[in-house]
Amino acid sequence: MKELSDLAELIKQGEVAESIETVKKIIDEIAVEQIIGAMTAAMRELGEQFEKKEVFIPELLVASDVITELMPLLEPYILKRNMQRKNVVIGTVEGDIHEIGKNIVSIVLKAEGYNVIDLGTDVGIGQFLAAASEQGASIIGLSTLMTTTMHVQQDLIAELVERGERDGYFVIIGGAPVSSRWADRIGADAYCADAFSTAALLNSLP
Amino acid sequence: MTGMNEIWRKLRIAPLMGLPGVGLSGTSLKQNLENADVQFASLKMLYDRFAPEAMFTMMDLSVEAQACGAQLSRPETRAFSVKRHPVGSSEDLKDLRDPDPRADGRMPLVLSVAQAMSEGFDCLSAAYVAGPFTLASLLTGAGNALRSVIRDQEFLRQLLQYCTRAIIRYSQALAEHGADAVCILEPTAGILSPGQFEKNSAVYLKEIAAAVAVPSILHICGDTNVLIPNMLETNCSAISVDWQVDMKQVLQQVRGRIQVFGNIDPVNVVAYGSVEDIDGALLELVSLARDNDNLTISTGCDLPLDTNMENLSYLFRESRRLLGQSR
Repeated sequence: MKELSDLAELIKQGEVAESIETVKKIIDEIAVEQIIGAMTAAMRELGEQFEKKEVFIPELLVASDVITELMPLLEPYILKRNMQRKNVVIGTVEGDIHEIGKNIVSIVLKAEGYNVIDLGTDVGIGQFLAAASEQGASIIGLSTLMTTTMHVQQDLIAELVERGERDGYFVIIGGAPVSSRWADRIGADAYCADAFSTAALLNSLP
Repeated sequence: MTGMNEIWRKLRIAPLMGLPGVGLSGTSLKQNLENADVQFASLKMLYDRFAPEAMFTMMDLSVEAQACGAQLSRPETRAFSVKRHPVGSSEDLKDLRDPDPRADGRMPLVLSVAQAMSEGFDCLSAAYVAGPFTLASLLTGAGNALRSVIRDQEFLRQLLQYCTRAIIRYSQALAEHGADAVCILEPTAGILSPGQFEKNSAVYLKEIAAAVAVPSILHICGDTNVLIPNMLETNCSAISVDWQVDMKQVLQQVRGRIQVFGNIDPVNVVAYGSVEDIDGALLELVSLARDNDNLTISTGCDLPLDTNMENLSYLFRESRRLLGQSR
């Protein structure tokens, strides 16, 4: 459908105003699932280009801005159709205010159809666990960019163990100083290097 | 250039270490970042313990941003960070004043540390400075800076010119206070494409390298494999690369022209790894260093605060043994 392929192209180009205009035109005629499908396709294509180092973070960021602006337009239709979405709680850990990577993960997951509860930056362990419990989220994503705050990821997992709730959550970690070795060391379920590998991993979960 | 190369090539092992000194001295990170005497005392403990060939000031990317007017969050045990970005748009640029390194923020503190290092250490003393794109990101927010790469080049150009002036003045003052080299930290530019890096970082790095009397080391964390050719064009006299970078390929691209620092994983290998992990990391690196005297064995970034000191001792001891050095 031309409108949907146009929308995907506009998202990739980071064209906020034109994307909004397009969605407003088609929202009552095309199923919201198909519109989300176009968003997903656009972000997946960018993801493939990102992996091949054909596009970089600035391109992802401006495309993510489009998705951020489109989501409020789509939300009422998503609710109306009662689409089933997995809940994901995500945030940058306490003491760290870096948000670019976390925001891109958040947007890519939204474009993939997840209900993302983004707690922002400088988020305490208690806030993560309370949000996950209240929202019925079984997936928790923890981001950090600093070696001085990466231990908070470890502390959150220790807290889950302490509460006897470790098995109830799939904990993903990310951020510049961490790695799959760090994930193994602290008992996280997975380390993801970028937004697209996070989406691929979550999509592969039962 | 020949003289400079001789200085670099004596540097065989030089981990980026500053923060582990905080643990050694039993002080808080905040005390070290706010008091020159405390910071120097912590660095001296590292110096006395390891007799390194190079010492660096404590890595602190908030120094320049603060001097340029950013408000900081200053926790006791974590790195300082920018609480409020002072530049939202081109309008705000008019209110920015060029910082005076001898008066503004904590620049005078770092000048004192550089001076004390120069007088107290019998090794190369290097001082960290923020790179132009990194400082711009701290002043306007990383998101705004990265979006401006695509959406508002004119605003970004003006901001980068301001940052470059500030970095040059600060670097010159550090050199005047005895720093043998400046190490330019440009992590935020590490996520740009080669073309974006060239336009928004490299041209300004060239200005900085040309304006400062002492050699400059360009350090960018993360996977910078695609940026190596651009980093080499900045005229910095050395580059420092992180553990995700293929050192063999870097050395092939550098072809002996400048010094390369790197690239042991500071977190998983040195700080929290085992001696076997260190052995594994040194295996290829030492072999490359034997064949390339322009390779200085170093860490991919600064070591964490709670680095295992036994590991760090082992890294020095084993590197020296393998390279046939005695200390």
